[in-house]
Amino acid sequence: MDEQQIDKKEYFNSLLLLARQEDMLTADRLQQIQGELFELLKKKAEAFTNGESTSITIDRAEQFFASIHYTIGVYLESLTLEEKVKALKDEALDYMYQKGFRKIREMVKEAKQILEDIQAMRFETGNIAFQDTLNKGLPAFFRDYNPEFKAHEDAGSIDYPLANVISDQTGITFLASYLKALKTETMFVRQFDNAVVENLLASYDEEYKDDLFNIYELVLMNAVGCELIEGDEKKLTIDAEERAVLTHQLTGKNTVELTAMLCNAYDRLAGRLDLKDAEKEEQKAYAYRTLSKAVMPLSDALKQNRLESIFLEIKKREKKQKPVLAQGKEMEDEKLRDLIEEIRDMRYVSDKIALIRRNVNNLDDMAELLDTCFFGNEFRAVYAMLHELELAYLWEITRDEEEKILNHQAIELKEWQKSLLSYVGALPDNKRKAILILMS
Amino acid sequence: MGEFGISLFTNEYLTKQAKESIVRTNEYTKKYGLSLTEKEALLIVKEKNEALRSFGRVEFGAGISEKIIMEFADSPYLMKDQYVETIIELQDIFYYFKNESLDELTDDELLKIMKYYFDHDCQGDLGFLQSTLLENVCRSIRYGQRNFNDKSKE
Repeated sequence: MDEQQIDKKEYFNSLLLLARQEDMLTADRLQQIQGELFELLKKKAEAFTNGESTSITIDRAEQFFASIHYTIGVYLESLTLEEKVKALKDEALDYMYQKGFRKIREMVKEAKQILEDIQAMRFETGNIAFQDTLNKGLPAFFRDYNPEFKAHEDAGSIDYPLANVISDQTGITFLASYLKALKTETMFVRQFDNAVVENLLASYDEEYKDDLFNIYELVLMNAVGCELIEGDEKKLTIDAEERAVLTHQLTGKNTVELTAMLCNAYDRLAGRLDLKDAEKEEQKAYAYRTLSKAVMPLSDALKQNRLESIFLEIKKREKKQKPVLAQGKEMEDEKLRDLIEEIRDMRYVSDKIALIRRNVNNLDDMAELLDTCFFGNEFRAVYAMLHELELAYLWEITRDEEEKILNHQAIELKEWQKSLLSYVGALPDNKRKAILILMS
Repeated sequence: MGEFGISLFTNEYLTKQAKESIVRTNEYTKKYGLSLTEKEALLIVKEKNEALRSFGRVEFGAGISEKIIMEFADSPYLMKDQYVETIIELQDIFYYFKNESLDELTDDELLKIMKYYFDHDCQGDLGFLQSTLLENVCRSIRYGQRNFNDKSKE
């Protein structure tokens, strides 16, 4: 039996058909399997209806059937070929189902851990698809996934596209593969400075925040491109001159040669990455897959002399800032209290900032939120989003507080105020002077 | 899912089981002057299977026929000369309303509602039972109104 012929999306059924085609199962055994499947389905229907209904719709029955098939498939997929055939010939279906169900529960637990690992990496990007998938769509899977009755179905909302699409799996096997890949991608991207990566994304597309594309692919290609021209991969940028060098290097090479060049460049680059030994093989395999996929578009770009579509130059971004918080109306006390509660429950500073942007129009409210909802390094992220005018206002409040301390009307500055002074003090001279002017 | 799919459900064993359970009801129904021959029981089972198919449902045991007979046997509107036809029609109505109620009603709940209206408002008129009263009940359920004044509980 050729395992490659097994359809991963319908593992059990596909395996049964293959086994039958190769005369591995007797007619009696097939009949026994049918009977045991029926009994499993009957149990499932009874569990679902609490024994209070003698019938269910065909749609529901098919759903349960698919779930049973999927669960048994998960168990069989974990076995060697020899073990699979033995199981098909001899094992009770209920036994296979229970083993599969236990395996699914283990996979859910492992997948949750991988998600937590990725979230702990704190890769902050403005790309909404990435953030929403990581912080909302993927957690929703664990909330909504129903291994008992819908083991085969996807759950949650997973929009962010991987560099290598997973199209041959569903349910928890899909999610496990997706998360493994996402972890590999995020670990690689985190090797580079966040701000540099963001600038690369913006150079790819000004509207990158709302766009649906894979971040890892962009970063990998540019890093490999930098390595090919012996540039600094940490800068992630390839200007026109450097692209000309690349064009000269790569033109005239066939796809096999191009693949080898890209992969060898990755190997040299990988030697300088901060990866644990256990992670290196996974990273390499994933990078090779991604680079192999990129060879055809690269080849086309070389023919059309459009290498700028593959290797990007980071454009200098003008920070188009305008005051985020107008001196609008203060919030009603109750609404402000509710907002404080909501922000305090949030784990990530990017979520806190997004909520403030949507709800706060007054700097005195902003000061209150800084005092009650932010801590430690989070202040800097807030100040980074503010216009000089707003920083000037908050600095005024801080200066007033310093006066009070001098006049023994206050004991010490609040944490956000100390952080603000430190933040403003570290700004480039021109920006600090601009704030001072606004204050005077 | 080919031969390992849902089509394995209409099998001889289940039909035999259902027929036997219907014949056993004669022990209870005879006191109401009602009984069924084996041939009549088999007809009821075959009509039931047909109803299941047409209403897109599957059953796993002997099925609903026995429960319908036991629930309706004491009805003053269940006529001896219409016994088989009435049971067959009640089966159709039952499966139709299991679907219409989105399976929100258990078998027993639906049977009790059907019996109540059959005996009271409908006085044995099955057309009235299906087209008016039960439709109203199921519409309420579909709109999330569980408290549809279930008189069967009074």
